[in-house]
Amino acid sequence: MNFLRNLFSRDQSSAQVAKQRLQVVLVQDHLSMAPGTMAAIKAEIMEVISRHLEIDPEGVEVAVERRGHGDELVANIPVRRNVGRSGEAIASSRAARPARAPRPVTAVGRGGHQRP
Amino acid sequence: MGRCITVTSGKGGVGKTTTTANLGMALAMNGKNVCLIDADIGLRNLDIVLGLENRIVYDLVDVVEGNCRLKQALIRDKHFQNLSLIPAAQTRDKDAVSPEQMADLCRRLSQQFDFVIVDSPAGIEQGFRNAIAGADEVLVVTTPEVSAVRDADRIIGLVEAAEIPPPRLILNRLNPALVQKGEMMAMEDVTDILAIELIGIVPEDSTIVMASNRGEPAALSEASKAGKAYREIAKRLQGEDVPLVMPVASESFLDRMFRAFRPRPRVAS
Repeated sequence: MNFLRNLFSRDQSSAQVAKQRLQVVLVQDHLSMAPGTMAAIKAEIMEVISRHLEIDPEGVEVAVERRGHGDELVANIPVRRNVGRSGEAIASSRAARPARAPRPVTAVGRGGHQRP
Repeated sequence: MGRCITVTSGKGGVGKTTTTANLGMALAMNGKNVCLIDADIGLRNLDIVLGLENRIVYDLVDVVEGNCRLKQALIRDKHFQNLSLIPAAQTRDKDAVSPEQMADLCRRLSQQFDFVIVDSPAGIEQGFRNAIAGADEVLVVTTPEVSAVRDADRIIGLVEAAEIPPPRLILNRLNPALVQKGEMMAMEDVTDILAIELIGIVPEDSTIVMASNRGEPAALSEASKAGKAYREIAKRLQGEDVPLVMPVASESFLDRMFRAFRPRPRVAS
């Protein structure tokens, strides 16, 4: 019965929701972080990366995740691929907006880990 | 030299007192000399859960203030001579006892007893600090609910900051049927979040209420599932290797349906 319910239900179970909500709130508790801090970190990371690479601002995710005994800042920043090779091509690709999906680049704060 | 173990949780109502009573009873059943301390000054309850409420003459504050000798405040359990209780004072505040006095009392008691178990009050204030002042180890009790787990996380941080070894976790009131439906966090969900060692899972069990009603902890009952879980935790505390098994729902809906249609055995008259 559970198997059928899970198969036909698009919603997450309340246990999964509970776990995810706890993970977020505990990170905030641990870092004594103000609610706006995460948004500020995200904006500043985007600003720095944008100086060097063209990123997809819609796809940027920045979050602190709990792993084992530590908390990690995990940033997932999709960058747009160059169509050509030269600097000119970058400019044109920017204008043309390549249809190909941007490739995500994952940066993990504490190092070592890769995002699953 | 005995061990002083504090049972705490942060959140109230998750089963600290029940856990303390049952672990004390189970350790006493295993022949250990056990002393329980009710550190919840002003909200005394361990005495009534153990059925010892009519035997109180002196309490924790009397011992600390020197109104009686330590021995006079020790109440013997009805079932086991090797189980004693120091009850909390009911008409005083948490600040009637200091952490230093509590640590000193725990030290004195652990010279006489194999296990000194302290029942901590809820919260993170003075009462909690008193309760962990003499602790060699800490057991954190939580239920699989967001509020209890969040508070447990806070308590774990405070215990670690107090330079006590990492606490171990008791997951209380787990409802296996709800877990199987995905409507309650499972053992792994809670241990993922809290990242401390799990020492036991106690299933939700109506025998706990019945046991408190009678003042006879469930650990005394062979039939009680929760009682069995507590007896197993006691063995783990004694260093025995008892495998941790996730409780399963006793009967699924389908099982019940099938059973309803099964022919009933005839009873001989």
